[in-house]
Amino acid sequence: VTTLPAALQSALAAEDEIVYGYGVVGAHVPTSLQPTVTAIWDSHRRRRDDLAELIRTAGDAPVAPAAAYALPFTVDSLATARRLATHLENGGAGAAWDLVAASPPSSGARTLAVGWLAASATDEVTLTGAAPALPGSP
Amino acid sequence: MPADLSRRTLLGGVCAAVVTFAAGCRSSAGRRVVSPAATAPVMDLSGFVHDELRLIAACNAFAGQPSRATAIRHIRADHEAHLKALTPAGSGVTPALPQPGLAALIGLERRTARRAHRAAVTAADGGSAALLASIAASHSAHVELLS
Repeated sequence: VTTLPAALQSALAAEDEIVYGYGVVGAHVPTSLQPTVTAIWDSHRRRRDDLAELIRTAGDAPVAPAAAYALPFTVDSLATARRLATHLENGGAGAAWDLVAASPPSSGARTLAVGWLAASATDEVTLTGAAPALPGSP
Repeated sequence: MPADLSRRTLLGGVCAAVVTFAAGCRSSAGRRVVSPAATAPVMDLSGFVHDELRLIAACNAFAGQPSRATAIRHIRADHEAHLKALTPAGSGVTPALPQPGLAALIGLERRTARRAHRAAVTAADGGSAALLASIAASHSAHVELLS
């Protein structure tokens, strides 16, 4: 059983990693894709900031990000950068699913998390051409 | 974005606690969440079942460009997965539809995405909310894929 504060902190931790990971994705895509990756990267930075704000509003302290994160596999090409983007968006969608489930109806957290789940799926399509049938589902 | 990110990832071994990233997030004790509102009655999802049936029918009858055939097959499979998630015990009868073109299919995906999205925001039980949010996300991804 996860409470709303725990779901918020988990989502924040995931977004910290996603923001880091998109830096790696951006380093391995051609110039033509850079604006797309940068826009998605910025959207995850906003998610991270929104989550930190929700956590502070609830009276808690946001978990601090790590200085660096290990990647699940070597990223050294456009193909592996796309795979990493899939991995990142699936992680973000999972955190958003959990936050939707843990948040009260019509709350700020619920509304944001529902939108984030959709954004993860459409961003994944934009970068890789596909998304799961049920984004974020366990 | 910082130019040195790709080099910093070579330092992966120093942060073992976060090595697994998404896999770790999702397999952690916190992954299976139960909403504070979990005791709320599970909402009636039959309207969304009907939406999935209409979308499957639309995919079956799709009369758009042959070059879209593979995408339509994937999208149809997604809607079958949605239907299965909405109705674990079985499904209804697929309605007959006139042959839709690409624009009609995109329109149907978009409208049903909005409906599921709105319901996900207001649903009293967290489980239904998450499922509807995920279905809305998938429909939005289909719009992106087809547009």
